[in-house]
Amino acid sequence: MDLFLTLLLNGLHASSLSLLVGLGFSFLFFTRKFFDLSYGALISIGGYGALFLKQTISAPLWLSALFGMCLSSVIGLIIGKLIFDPLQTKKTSPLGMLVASLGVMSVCQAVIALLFTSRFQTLTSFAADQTVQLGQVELTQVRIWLLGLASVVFGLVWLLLRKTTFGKTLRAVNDDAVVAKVIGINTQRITDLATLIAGTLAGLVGVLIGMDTGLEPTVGLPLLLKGITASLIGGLQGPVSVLAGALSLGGLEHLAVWNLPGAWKDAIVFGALLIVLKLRSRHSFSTSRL
Amino acid sequence: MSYLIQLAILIGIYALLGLSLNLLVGYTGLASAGHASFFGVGAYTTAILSTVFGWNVFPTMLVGMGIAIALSVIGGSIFTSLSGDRYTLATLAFSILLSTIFLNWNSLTNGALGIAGIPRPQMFGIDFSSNASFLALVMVFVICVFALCLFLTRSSFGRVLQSIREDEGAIQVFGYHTRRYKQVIFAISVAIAALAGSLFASYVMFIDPSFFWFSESLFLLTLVILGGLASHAGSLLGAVVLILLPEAFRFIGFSGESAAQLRQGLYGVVLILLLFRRPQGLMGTYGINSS
Repeated sequence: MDLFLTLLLNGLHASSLSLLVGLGFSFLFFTRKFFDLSYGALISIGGYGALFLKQTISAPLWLSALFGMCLSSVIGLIIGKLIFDPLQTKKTSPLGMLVASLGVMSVCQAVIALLFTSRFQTLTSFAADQTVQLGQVELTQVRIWLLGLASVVFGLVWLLLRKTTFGKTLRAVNDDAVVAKVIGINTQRITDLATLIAGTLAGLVGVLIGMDTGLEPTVGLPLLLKGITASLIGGLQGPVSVLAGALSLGGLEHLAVWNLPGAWKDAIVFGALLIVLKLRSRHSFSTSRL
Repeated sequence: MSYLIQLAILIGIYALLGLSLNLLVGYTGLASAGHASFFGVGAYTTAILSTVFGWNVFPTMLVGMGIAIALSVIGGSIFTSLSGDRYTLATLAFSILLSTIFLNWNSLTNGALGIAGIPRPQMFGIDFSSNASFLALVMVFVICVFALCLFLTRSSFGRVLQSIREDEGAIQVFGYHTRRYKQVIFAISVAIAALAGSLFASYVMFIDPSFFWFSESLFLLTLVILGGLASHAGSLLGAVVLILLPEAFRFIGFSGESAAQLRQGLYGVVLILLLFRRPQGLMGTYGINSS
């Protein structure tokens, strides 16, 4: 019973991370329509932004976290404006955009490593060491936060997309950017706002991962791939599909392989990514709906 | 002089990698983001067989190529049905999967500690332990692979590959099994990468998983795009430029960790600039940006 509870909680923990990353990534994917791998670097930037404020002026947790989230959203917007917008104006193919995003990721990681070194660092001195007893299972506070925040963010994203005018216009842009423009939607503004939201979520993930397992400059890419895997399993059909994908992936990661050593868990995720790409090889992502 | 020979050996090994990756990226339009893993497969095969079992390096090259081809057939069942950005994503996932194996299969690969004491090759009484003779060996391989690539891409097989790149659907209409072509070129490409890996392991005598991480695949992709897509001479040029360029950091005083990071950042900048200014690379005929 305890084993089951532990596995369930671990699975939920993994699902929350993939859910947050998947939701953030979908804001980018549905406006820009390519696999932006530099989103992984934005996750690292958020975490390191918080770390920077904590180290320099020993700011409290909420302030550091807020700073990290602002930093990643602003840098995400700058990258979008400086690099991805001009390239998309030149009608670069999705593959070309992906390769450009790899370049951006490489630069960001190098800058982070030059500023903070590439050794492992954590944000945990922030009172994250306390654990909560749940039956006979111990749970760190950070993980409870992660679970709670993931649920809240999911609710907010769902409301934003379904119940607000912004959500409606975003869905229109996702559906057909040209028609959206023709009927008078400022598509550029919508893309910028979506980029900001995605960046904020990336920052949140970066801060949480910094408190949970720790930061290194390359921490974001595997997380991003988990988010992408969860989105693809769900079928890229809006927030509910990301949730479904994240839960299946988390379950797969922890329930199916509970007797494997931890280091091999990632292998399961990337295996799942390969399989889902294969299964969806005839499915056109451009028809996916938010 | 010995410094120049060392650089020339590295350039030769990376030219092999560039030539093989260009067959995929440049000629077939399949941007693989996992080439370094197959480089690693060759390197680990040579390292393990030569240190644990005491094999001569030359037969280990063949085994390494065989293992790479076997892996390409396993992965190929997935990759060949994909193209464009999804192909890149799939090869990226595959390469992280292989890196996980290099890092965690301790009993086989010695994990993060790596494998040391890999010998230099010997054949017909010739010992390639001096760097000069090793350079000669590498150059022989570069010339052979260059000729092979030239032959492949100028044959009817190569023309089918280039039509797959331009319009896979159209060439299928003419009855070509494009998946079979994509499988064959993938196998050839990774076999050459494994050969380069064997040479690399034997040259540096020590390997660990960090040599074959995703960043290395990204470096190879940069090399091929910079030199020129669908241009064999371009792959050679890319290897020369990208091996020599970071050496400049050494002379302006950066070293160790920060030099490695600067190099990483530089490759990223090069990649972004290329997409803006010259998506086909210096000598290329096909742009990575075209849909």
